[in-house]
Amino acid sequence: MSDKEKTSGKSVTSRRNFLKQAGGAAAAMGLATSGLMMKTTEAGAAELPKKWDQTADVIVIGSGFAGLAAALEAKKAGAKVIILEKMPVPGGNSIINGGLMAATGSPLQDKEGIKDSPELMFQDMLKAGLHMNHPELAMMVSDQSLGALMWTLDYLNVDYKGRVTHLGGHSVPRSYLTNIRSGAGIVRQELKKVKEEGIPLQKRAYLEHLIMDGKNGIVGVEVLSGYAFPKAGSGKRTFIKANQAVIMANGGFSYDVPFRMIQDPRLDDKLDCTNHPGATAEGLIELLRIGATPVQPSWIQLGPWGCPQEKGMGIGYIFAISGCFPFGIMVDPKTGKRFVNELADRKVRADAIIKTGHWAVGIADTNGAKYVDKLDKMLAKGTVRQFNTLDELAQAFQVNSAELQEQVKRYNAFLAKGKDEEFGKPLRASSQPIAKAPFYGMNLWPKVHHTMGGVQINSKAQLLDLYSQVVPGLYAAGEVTGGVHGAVRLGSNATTDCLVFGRIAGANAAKERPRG
Amino acid sequence: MRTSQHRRLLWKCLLPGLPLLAALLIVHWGAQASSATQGGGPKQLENADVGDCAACHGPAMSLPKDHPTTKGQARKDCDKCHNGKKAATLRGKLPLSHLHALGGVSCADCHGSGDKSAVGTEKCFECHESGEAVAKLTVPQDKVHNNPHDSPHYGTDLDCVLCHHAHAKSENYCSQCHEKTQVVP
Repeated sequence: MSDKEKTSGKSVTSRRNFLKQAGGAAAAMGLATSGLMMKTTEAGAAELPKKWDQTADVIVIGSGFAGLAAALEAKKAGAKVIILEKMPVPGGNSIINGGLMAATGSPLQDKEGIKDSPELMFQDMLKAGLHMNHPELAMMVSDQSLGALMWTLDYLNVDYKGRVTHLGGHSVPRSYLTNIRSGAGIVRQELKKVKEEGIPLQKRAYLEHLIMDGKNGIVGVEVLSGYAFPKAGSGKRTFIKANQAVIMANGGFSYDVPFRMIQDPRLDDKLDCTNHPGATAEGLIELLRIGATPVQPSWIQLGPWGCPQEKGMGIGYIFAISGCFPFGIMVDPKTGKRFVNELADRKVRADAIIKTGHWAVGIADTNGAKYVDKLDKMLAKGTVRQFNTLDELAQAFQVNSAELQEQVKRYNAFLAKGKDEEFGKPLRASSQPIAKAPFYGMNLWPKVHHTMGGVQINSKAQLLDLYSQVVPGLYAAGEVTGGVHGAVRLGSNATTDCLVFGRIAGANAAKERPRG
Repeated sequence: MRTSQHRRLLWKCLLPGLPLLAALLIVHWGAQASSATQGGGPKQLENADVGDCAACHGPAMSLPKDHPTTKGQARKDCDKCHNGKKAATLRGKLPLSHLHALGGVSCADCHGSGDKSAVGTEKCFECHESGEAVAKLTVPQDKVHNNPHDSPHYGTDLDCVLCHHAHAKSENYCSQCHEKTQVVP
């Protein structure tokens, strides 16, 4: 059985649970209107254990950007913290992500003379998010983006490249990129601090239940320790008491095919996914079970930079986001023409590619490709291919060659004018005409990447129940929450979101009044 | 009367079949005895000679027909032929427990003498030193491969058991997301 199947198998159980819970929630709604509804906190009550096996002040579920940031802040504020991670490795999706982080007014923007502001970033987020963003949450991320970036520089000593990247949907280049081109550049520094601070990180610890105690809210967790992903029910049942709070930083559910298909039935297993196999929905489902409010869970993002000849995230996306999209073009092989602004938001681009019905072709010349790390590796793997002329490239990718060359001519003319008259792509000052051989090409097809939706939190990262009441002792941060990004998340904003709200959750959790 | 006639008839019919039944039973018992299996799997005889495949597996399911005897051999003897030229290397072919045993590492060396529970990375490092030390041995010779023991994401910190299974087929943890290209012993 492949890992994928095993994961799906697990998710079938989750789905059943979800259906049961969803049915329960619908019934509860009916009761609410008739005034017979119990308070959410009582309805979701799980049995208190006879004995707690372990105690901490703050329990963090998940060890990605958000969970580790939360743990470090809670510890700094004096709390005794433990981190629980269900996988045998730390870092979740964050440690395999692309290593980009958006921030406004950053030192690198200053260096290049790029004018930016939290307000501009906020507007970009709203535009891409179709104004479905919860404004107070989106504003928190844009306002705190510089603070979070500086925290990674000053406190974590993260090593970044010396130039900001211009990603789709952002008005200006504002994305820092770690030197190792992976979120691991940040997560490993967080892990180092976690170790230095003596915060225990228990791997293979699966959250089975959040434990509620009436008005006290969440008082602890029921965990399977020694859990062997994805084997449902494996591990030993353990109860851990949280004197102050539990922070849910358990991530999104892109890898959970059955659950994502409930939200968006088009996203079946034929679509590849960039996430790690542990990006499944059971943590979110547990939050819904105890009465969390779902926010836009059907807005699931596809990454338009996926290379169909590669598995998962792969490395070809680097060619797309660093070379082809900002400095080259993407064409429909059938027409040889561009069909979308290569720096539009992810949804616009992914939808446009899918609409053509076949793989697109991304193209960059040597000037564009000079910004592409690991190009050697891509060429050796054959995901990106190199050609002496555009005509050769056209032949290899079965693109109408005459049309392609006309298209490149038109595009180069736009560059000279500084204005893309076809699709309104923002053209960077350092862009050069697509003319310098060799030329590079890669196929593009979207992959399931991020779940914008999740549970509702307020700007203090406190979890809100179905009646907009704060659930005492419960915080959430990162991809498990919804509202920050609305309909569409901009590239590199997830890192910022996770670090901003992870830190907020950690600091506030440590301020909770200790419960006896 | 009628009953005794029937009985005689029954015996007449069955008698010719009895030798066949007996023969079948003998063959069955014999096969059971020679395959030396327990509950379908091979015996895990701690004290057997490591090179004596048949001791645990029985003659039927061990070596190819024309393979020379391996009794009394150690890993270095296997590698004389299984060097990747004369015959395929045993990396990824033999379970890690066998490679260990053939190299002189006994069951008890990892598991102790008590119960045989799973061991953690710290046990591996009693011989293999550290993640960094192992990574030094597997620096790739080309541009395509990464060092399997020095991940761009996890560095040298991963637990050995994520890939290396002593008693099951080993796997490449990285191949969950990346193309599988390397043999895992």
